[in-house]
Amino acid sequence: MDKRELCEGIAAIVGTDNVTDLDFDLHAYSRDLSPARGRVPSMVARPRSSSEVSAIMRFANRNSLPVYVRGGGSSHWAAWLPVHGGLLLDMYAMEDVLEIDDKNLTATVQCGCTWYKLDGELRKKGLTYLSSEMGGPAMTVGGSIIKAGGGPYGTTKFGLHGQCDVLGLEFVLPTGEIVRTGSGAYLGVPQFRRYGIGPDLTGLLIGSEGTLGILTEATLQVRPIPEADDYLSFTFNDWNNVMEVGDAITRTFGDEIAYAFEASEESSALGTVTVRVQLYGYDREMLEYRRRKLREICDKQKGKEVDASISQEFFTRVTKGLKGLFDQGVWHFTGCGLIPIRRLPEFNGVWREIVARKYKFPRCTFGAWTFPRGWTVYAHLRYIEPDELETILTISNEMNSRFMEMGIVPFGIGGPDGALPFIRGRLGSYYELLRSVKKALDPNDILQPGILVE
Amino acid sequence: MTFYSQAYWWSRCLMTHLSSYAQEIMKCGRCGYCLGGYIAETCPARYVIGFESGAAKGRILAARAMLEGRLEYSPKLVQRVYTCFLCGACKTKCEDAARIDTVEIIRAMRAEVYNRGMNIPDGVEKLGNAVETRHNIFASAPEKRTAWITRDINVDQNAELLYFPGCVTSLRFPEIAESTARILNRIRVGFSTLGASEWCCGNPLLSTGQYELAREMARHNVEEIKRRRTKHVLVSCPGCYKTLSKEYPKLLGFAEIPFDVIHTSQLFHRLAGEGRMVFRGMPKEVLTYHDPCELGRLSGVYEQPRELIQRIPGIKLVEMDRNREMAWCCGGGGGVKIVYPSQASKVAVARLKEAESCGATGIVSSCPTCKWNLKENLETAGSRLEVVDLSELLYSSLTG
Repeated sequence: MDKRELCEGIAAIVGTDNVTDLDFDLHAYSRDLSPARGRVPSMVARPRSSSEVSAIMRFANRNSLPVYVRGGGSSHWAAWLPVHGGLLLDMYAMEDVLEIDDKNLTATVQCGCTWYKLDGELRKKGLTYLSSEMGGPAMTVGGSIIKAGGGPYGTTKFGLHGQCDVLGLEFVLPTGEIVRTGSGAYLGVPQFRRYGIGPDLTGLLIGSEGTLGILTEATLQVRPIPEADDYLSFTFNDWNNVMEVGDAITRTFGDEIAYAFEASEESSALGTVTVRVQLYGYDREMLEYRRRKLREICDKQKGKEVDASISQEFFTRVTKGLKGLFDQGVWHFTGCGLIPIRRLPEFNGVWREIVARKYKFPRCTFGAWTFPRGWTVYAHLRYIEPDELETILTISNEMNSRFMEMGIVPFGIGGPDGALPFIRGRLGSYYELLRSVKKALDPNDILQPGILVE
Repeated sequence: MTFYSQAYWWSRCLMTHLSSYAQEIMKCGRCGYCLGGYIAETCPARYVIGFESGAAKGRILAARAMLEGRLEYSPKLVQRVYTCFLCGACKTKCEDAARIDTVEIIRAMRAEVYNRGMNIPDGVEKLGNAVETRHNIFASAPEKRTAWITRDINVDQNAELLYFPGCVTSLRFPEIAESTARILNRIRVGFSTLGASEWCCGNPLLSTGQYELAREMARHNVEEIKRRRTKHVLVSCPGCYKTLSKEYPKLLGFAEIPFDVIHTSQLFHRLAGEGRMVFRGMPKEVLTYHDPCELGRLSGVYEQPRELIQRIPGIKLVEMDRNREMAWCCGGGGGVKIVYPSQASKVAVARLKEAESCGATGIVSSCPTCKWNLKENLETAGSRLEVVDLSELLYSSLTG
């Protein structure tokens, strides 16, 4: 089949208005948030249901058509850029909130639904999803799950929301079958529990970067809106102290003191670590206890309390979109991943060595937020395109290599323009098993080829 | 007139080439803030088209591809360029991110394709011909502009205030002009008009890339207004408001125009505040206010119309979910109503449904084009909402 026939075949499934091969439409889907070079798909389709996704995958298999999948498109590690061309699925049309069960405290959404939209609907019922991504309003539920991700918001208390609160999924296998996991795997049983029949196949899809199936629905655990919350801000001079605070506030599992704890340092102002904290309580006494406890811990670690509005501004805007995002240039996230709770200062030391001392790049932030017994660390370089592109790529490559050597677990792998080159040679039998699973589920290697699994 | 350096003039000029915005385009970090949190939240063009090429993020990526020689204008791309409503919602969202003037970039693309004579949509050509020959967007006879001035309306050609109703008000919704004039008569504020000498303000031309013709309109209107020694120009149309106050200096190379421009909602708000407009009780009614893009988001006038509505006893003002700087476009903007009326209709239907869902029985706006597009789509939306302009509402509730 030539491209025109392929396009007509997809149009027969999704309708002519929902598939395009016009060059300007395609260029609109050629970049993500990263500096990765543009990859232009051959065509883009907007499926609106699981059955359409299923029909597309059967068609793609019959015609050896590579299929790439994206949600809001704001990945920062080339997670979906179509390495081999082919069909790109824009899942944003599947954005419905399907059900909010305020008795069982679950919400079921189509995977193109954003966290922003879900939280807005939940709040109408006195509920919330107390976690959210830093990618702003465009970040989709499916996008978070597929990378097992999480932002700073709510992560200290609940962990990474792309993993922890997922009760069940519906997804389409590369060969077109529609599968439900969790308790919903039993026909007629609602999704209220992650484990249904046998092992956790929900977990198989979480973090799979879209290579093993296309997420179409997700059921999440949701929570009541806390009665009270508050914000505190501190500055520290030493990351060792910040680490000790992170350790102390996540030591008691299930009763973490803070809801969100995020720390950052600018390459232009080394030695000043700004810490932003959000606290919550389901009653005011609990909130007061946590506030007192956090102040004691920070005081013991030589933290200086500063204007709380710094934290309030940050956490209240994190899901809606931060202000002044690109004032200093376009962002490139680098060195992003998870590390154990006691290793934070080491990673900061390497960041300082590379960014501040070796390259003296003035517009870079090193930051970290806690999850129970660990940190997510990140750096973002703010650069001017195209003049500083080569510089920031050099810095970024060096930092990614060093962080990988030190044992960071990267946030996402993506394709050849993402973190894939940095994991080569570091993978053992687990990766071989992943390859085998991929081969079994996607025998023609048509789903996200070139991403994660080589 | 003050004299300024060439660099100063250049910085205030309207750019008609995409390349003039290269730096702006490079600032896009592809964060997607401009897309909003769901398809129907921010961008009406994306709501209609579906693909991201309909929204600012996609348009900026396409623009960048053109600047880098990877993409060229084609007939279909020209069509897509004319699907933007120029409502500025994406620009507002981008204020938090890269502060890119997305509206100006789209307008520059339109100017570029228009100047190259590339497969311009029929509606755009017809609009240009109408304005060029009859000086209004409907190709109506110029004298019809004054049909709303009945014998019992007093016009004082020596007044310092000049009323400039604009094409849509004069020729499609004369009741708006009539209500405005009767309010002014009632509270004894004298006003003059340009009569049949009023030409299109040029806003629809700027929206569709016809900058030279817009400049001709601006030159004529400014000369006519200056000839009358007018100090204040009153407008009913937000498009006229923005164009006369913000675009004319750029079009004509003035540091500032020799008169100030005021919208009816602003003037009436001031007069009501001074106690010169008092409203009688009305039958109880729940109304919502629709912010016109060019008066609200693109000119910053949000509160005066609302405060005026709330001054009317018996009327309860309720807000739609999307209001003020994030108000949803009525669908009448950016020339889309002329070029792709079905797309304009779809956007209007969404707005009407939103107005109904907030419990309103009527929708008030301060823009004749909003009234036009919303009213025209009531049947399609299956809506019984009453659509009125603010001036009509104020006149009907004015005492004395």
